[in-house]
Amino acid sequence: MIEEGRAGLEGSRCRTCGRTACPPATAHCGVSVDRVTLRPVGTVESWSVARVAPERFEPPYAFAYVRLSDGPRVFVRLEDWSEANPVEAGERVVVARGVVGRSPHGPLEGLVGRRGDRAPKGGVG
Amino acid sequence: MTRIAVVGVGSTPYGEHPRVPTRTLAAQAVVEALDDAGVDGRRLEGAYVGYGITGLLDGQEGMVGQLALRELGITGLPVTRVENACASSACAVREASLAIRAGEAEIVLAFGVEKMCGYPTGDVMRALAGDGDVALEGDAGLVFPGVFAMIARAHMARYGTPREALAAVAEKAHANAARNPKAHFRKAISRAHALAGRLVADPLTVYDCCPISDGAAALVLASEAAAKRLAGPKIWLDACVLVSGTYDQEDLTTFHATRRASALAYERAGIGPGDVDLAEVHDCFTIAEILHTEDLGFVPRGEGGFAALRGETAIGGRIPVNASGGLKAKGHPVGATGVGQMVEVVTQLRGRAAGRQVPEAKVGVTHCMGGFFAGDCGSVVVSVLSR
Repeated sequence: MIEEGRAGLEGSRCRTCGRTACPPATAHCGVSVDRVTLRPVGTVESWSVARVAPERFEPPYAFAYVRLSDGPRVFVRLEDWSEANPVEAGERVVVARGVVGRSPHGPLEGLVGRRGDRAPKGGVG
Repeated sequence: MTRIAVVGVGSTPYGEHPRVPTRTLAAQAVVEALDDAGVDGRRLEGAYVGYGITGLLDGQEGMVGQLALRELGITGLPVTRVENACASSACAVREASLAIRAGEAEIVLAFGVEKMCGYPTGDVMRALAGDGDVALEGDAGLVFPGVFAMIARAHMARYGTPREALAAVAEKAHANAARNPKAHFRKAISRAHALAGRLVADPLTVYDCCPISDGAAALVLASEAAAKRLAGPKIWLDACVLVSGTYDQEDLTTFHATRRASALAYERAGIGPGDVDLAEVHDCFTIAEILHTEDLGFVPRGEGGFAALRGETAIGGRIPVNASGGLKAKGHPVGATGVGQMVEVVTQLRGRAAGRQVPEAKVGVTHCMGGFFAGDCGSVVVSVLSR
């Protein structure tokens, strides 16, 4: 299910109804699920820019709920946003795991997205 | 099955209480509710308390209920903490009513408290993020204003909800709160002022967001038989329904949990949304009130913003929403909010909401939401109260 040249996302697929999840669920429809690799691409469902945030993050930063092409909704930090380059709902996004902030215990990891066809550079934190 | 009566209500003013400890704030609301009910606190057979993030800020994570009641000389009784994010004390009311229904007790206390002021805003935001999915969303930089900003954009795109509609909700909230002596913000604002506020998460400004508040609220609940032995006015709790999210919502412009909880609550109370005279709704952000008024069945899907612009949700409108000022302007001490909403509706149904009274109010609804993640509500409590 992965497009060539991009790392997939760990996910699951329900054996009964086919519903996918990212990160993987443990069970669905009352039974255990299959582990699958999901394509790391999707579209922006909605987005915003944080102007105020806890101290481990550096506002302003953009984020979105992205609907992956394989089904699940995931929360993504957008690395290529700027005031001059706003986001639009429906835009295609490529997603990868990356550093999204700094805590006293070390870097915080999450999903990072980049609009278009190229994979994210992998860090916004 | 016994009916449940609300026989006493109490609330501190919402706002900043820098010199009052959490337990004392709670005790002040409880003693007001007991006095209102004409009940000696030593006759209580149980107490349920809701609080959320207080412990993350001041370190007192446990025993707040017992500490508060000890200040009033009420000891020895079963005290249970209920946690369900911003819906914690709404769930405390549900547990109290179930204890009465189960025949375990006849007179039970439900209360909620929170102290959130006086800490760095970032610390409070981080504590509140603990009512979402910390691992997948909070630690990746999602905070609640961001959630509702995304919801606002989605609703505006799908239904053409004007940005000004959000400001109309803020304007109404402040206008109502200005007439509520217990509200945090007692100052009216214009729509233009709300629109010009500092951005928090585009398109939401600071005037679209509820404040950080301190406060406490309490209810005394009684079985029908016990209520009849008391002299004061009785307001009936006809339904108190709790649901959780399903986290499979296809779009961000509706809250299925609100729809499911309200459908069940209306069925149990034997009413429909058209029978409701007023509602206190979980307007943690202006856009939340717009969606919830749709999902509670007060206005059609997509019409929430336009209804607010037309004044349908103002006092004197077709369905007054948040006559108290709501979370937005009365304030949102998270653990107190669910009970506080019921205090307002009971006060309205008794006809004692001077200055902001909804005329001829007979049936009122409270709606409280706790937590949010994966595009869905953590929990929702919908209650129906009547006189």
